[in-house]
Amino acid sequence: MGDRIGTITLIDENLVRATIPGSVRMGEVVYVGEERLMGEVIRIRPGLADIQVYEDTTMIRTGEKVEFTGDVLQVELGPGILTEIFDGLGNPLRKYGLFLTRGVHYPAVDPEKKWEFVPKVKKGDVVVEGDIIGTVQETPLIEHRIMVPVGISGEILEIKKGEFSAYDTVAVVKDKEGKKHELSMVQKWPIRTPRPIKERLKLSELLETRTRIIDGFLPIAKGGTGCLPGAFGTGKTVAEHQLSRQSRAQVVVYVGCGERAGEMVELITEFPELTDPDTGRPLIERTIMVVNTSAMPVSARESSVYLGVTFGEYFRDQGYDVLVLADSTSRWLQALREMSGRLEEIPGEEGFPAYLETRISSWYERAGKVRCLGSDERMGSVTIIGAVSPPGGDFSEPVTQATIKVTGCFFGLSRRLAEARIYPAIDPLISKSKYFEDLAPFFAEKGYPRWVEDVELLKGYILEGVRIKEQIDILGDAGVSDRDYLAYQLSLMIRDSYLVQNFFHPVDGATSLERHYFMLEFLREIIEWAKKLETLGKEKMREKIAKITYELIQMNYQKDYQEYAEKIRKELLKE
Amino acid sequence: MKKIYTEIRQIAGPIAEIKGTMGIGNREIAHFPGYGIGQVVKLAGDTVYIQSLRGTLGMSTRQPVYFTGRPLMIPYDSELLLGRRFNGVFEPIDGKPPITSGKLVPVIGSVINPTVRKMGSGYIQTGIPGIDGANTIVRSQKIPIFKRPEEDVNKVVGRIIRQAEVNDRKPFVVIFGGIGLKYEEYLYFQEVLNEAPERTIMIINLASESSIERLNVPHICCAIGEQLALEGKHVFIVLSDMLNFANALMEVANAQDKIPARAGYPGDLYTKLAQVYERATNLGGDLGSVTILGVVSVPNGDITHPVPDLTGYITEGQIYIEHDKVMVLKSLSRLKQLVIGKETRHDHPAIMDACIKAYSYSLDLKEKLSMGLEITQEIDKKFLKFGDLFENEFLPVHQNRTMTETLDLAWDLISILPLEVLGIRKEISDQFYRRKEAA
Repeated sequence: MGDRIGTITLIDENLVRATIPGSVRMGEVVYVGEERLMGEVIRIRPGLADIQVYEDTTMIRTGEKVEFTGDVLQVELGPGILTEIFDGLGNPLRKYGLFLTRGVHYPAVDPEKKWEFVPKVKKGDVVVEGDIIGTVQETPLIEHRIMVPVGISGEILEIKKGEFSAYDTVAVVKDKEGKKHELSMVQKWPIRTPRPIKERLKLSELLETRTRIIDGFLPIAKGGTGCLPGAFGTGKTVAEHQLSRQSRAQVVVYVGCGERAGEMVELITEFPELTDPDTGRPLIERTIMVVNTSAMPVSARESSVYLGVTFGEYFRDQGYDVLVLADSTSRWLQALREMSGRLEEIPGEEGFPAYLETRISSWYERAGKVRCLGSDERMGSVTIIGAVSPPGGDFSEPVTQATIKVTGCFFGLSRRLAEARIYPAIDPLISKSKYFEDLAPFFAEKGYPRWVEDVELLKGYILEGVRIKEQIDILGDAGVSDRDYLAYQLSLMIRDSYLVQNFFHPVDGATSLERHYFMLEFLREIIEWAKKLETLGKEKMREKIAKITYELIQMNYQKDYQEYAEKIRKELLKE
Repeated sequence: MKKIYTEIRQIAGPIAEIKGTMGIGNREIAHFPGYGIGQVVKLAGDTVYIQSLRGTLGMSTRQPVYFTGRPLMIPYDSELLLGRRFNGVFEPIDGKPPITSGKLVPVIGSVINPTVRKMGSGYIQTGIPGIDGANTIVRSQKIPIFKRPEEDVNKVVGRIIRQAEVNDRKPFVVIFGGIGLKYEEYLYFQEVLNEAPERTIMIINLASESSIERLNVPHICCAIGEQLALEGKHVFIVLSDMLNFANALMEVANAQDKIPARAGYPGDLYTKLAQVYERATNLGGDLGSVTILGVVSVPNGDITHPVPDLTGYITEGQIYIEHDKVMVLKSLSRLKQLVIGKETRHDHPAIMDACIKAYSYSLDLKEKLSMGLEITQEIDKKFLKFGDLFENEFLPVHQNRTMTETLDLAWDLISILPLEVLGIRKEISDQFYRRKEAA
């Protein structure tokens, strides 16, 4: 389209202004300059378009051309995106060399690779949007379900079987008007638009994370949302990595947004080697990574979170439970602030634009449990957990506040706990899960009748322990009653053996629901038993509880926990 | 093409505006004869905004300007660079001639593809137990030293430059980037680096020199470091003081009327700091690595100040130094688990973990004491004793020990505590623990 060319009139870091060739769309993708750097129209002025450029603008000149494509920012969806590592724009990073080169783009779905397409419909069948026309075994873990794209329905005129590249035609559909649609295994989707569904469903099922403090104290539902704010050094990234490794979602999308490259390298290195305990398969086979590290262009941080959630929705639409993790959403919103400043918009709190909260909530709203498009009534879910990096660890700043408001789980990380080396440093006193009550029937159905009751018991001790510690700090050990002193020691035991969890240990790092319930019941038994200690005096009491705590921590490292619990019972609980 | 313009329309702070020109590139280098160089920071229509690295005091509106057609680049030749000293625009300050041969490398280069980076491996031994033992610096790590502005850490930094060693056969180079150094500090570091010219390079911007030049110092260090790493060397970049770098960023942003985000600092401070620290990398194979240690003054000791705060989010841990001691409880090396117990002696994680826990507990007890509470339990008295020993023998920075000596020292100290309270695995304690009675 030769008439769709504009000219650069302004360059300010990654903001470029260009003349408009006729009409222009908001969000339209453009290619800037001779090097064809990718950008997007973010504001339209009379005769001029403000463009956010996704790549470094060094040596771009005023007067150079801007090519308008007519499309908004889209990504290709199809087999091969699992196991892949993308930048914030959907370029597969492994296609590049040692350094990332500007102006070089690759499609998200590899056109070279061949896939074995197994048809699920036959000639003459009538299909609607979302119907599965065939499958591809994308990885040993995940069957990729090829769906009729949104907006197309009709009769199958032709359906193929065998080995094809993702872009080859595998089916032809004739719609009501008699128009023929050639379908390949690839569809394109504009990343800022939520993918349509039939219906949103109530959240009633736990997303098992195998992290005790979350599954126990702060459970998250499949289709729910959570935020993980914390000052630096409190273990946000370690917690996000843990969730990506241990959560029992079928597909995991990890978005590294404006964070350290080293951390992403860790995931890239370990995911092909770590195996899923249920299937024994490498974790990478159910993972997509979006990597836009802090040294990579700022504006692509913004697109990276939308790209991640679009991948998530696409697998949800196939009927999977997906977990989207983003570390850190603060970097995305800072990128938004930078651009807003360059556009000379009137700043809101701390320089953030007035639409900050709207952007945050509409992004998290793409989570949910849904009935998917298609006639087979299949269901899928997207759960989103975003890390937040509040400046100075101050949760009252705008991004943290807006995020806590819209998310269902608030996993607040505390510097106090982190400095005492208590990990995960999720502070049970400030954190909250809105799903706790809704999930109570789930635990009962699973065969854990006292789950909620047990958790409440432990929570009670943790709260009580804090109150008693305050007294001890002022009055000393002698200033509290023996009963309170015992309760305090038990709260330490619960903290150190139950809430504390070593994510780096293969056994302790993953607590299944079954094992978790066993622990809850065992802790209840110990608490019952400990009532006898009240008469022993503080020093003896402390010694005994310390011994049990030590043994409980050892138990966390044992595969055969039941046997170890029996040993504790015999040796320590018999007196 | 070197077109000369002699009409400066406006000067604001370090930024000069020229009108009536097209075809100038973003971040292109311009020359102001008699003033040194400048860099294009913004282009609007036919107006070019140039940031003069030497400042603009005395600059006339008739000052000629010509453009070089390329961004900031430096000539690179590792043979010629070792042992040399340069300023923030890469002019020699050691009395030797400028480097004119070698390939030209951009000071702010392309981003290294995250998928080709390798996990950190190997460590840098500084000889200081509070660092090597408790907060081991892994090669390719980026880590700051946080300190109060009044704390003089130059001697520690000098010690680290002198004592640093890698546990690998590949050659090792230390690049020192001085950002806003006082003259006597410059003389001190020059002395330190002159002791080993064969393995050091120095890029210096003095406090008396233009603050804009400070912005290039870390990038020049990194550009050289990256090239050396591509040649298979391990590079250790030491930058001091990164607060001055951030303050220079603020100056430039204000001159451009940018809306500040927090405490006067621009909204892209995080990105600008990350562009430096993220150049720390392990390339693996036959290639080398770049490790970055940045000294950061923490204004008023408040780590929620934007500069230490954002630095903390970017770097992989932090080392706090206060009163010539490593504050181990506030310090952290996020990468140490990649090497400790694997490339160091196998008891390393267990013994350091036990020491830190015991030390932390001893501080709790100390606090109780200071509030007038009595410590009655015998075991608590032993913890207090351990706390003092640890603080006075392990944490002081002015030491030089090998990794083995550091770990042995830790065992020596902890052995005054009974084994039962330490939670150390039996197979390790059997080998290293030796019970001693608290004196």
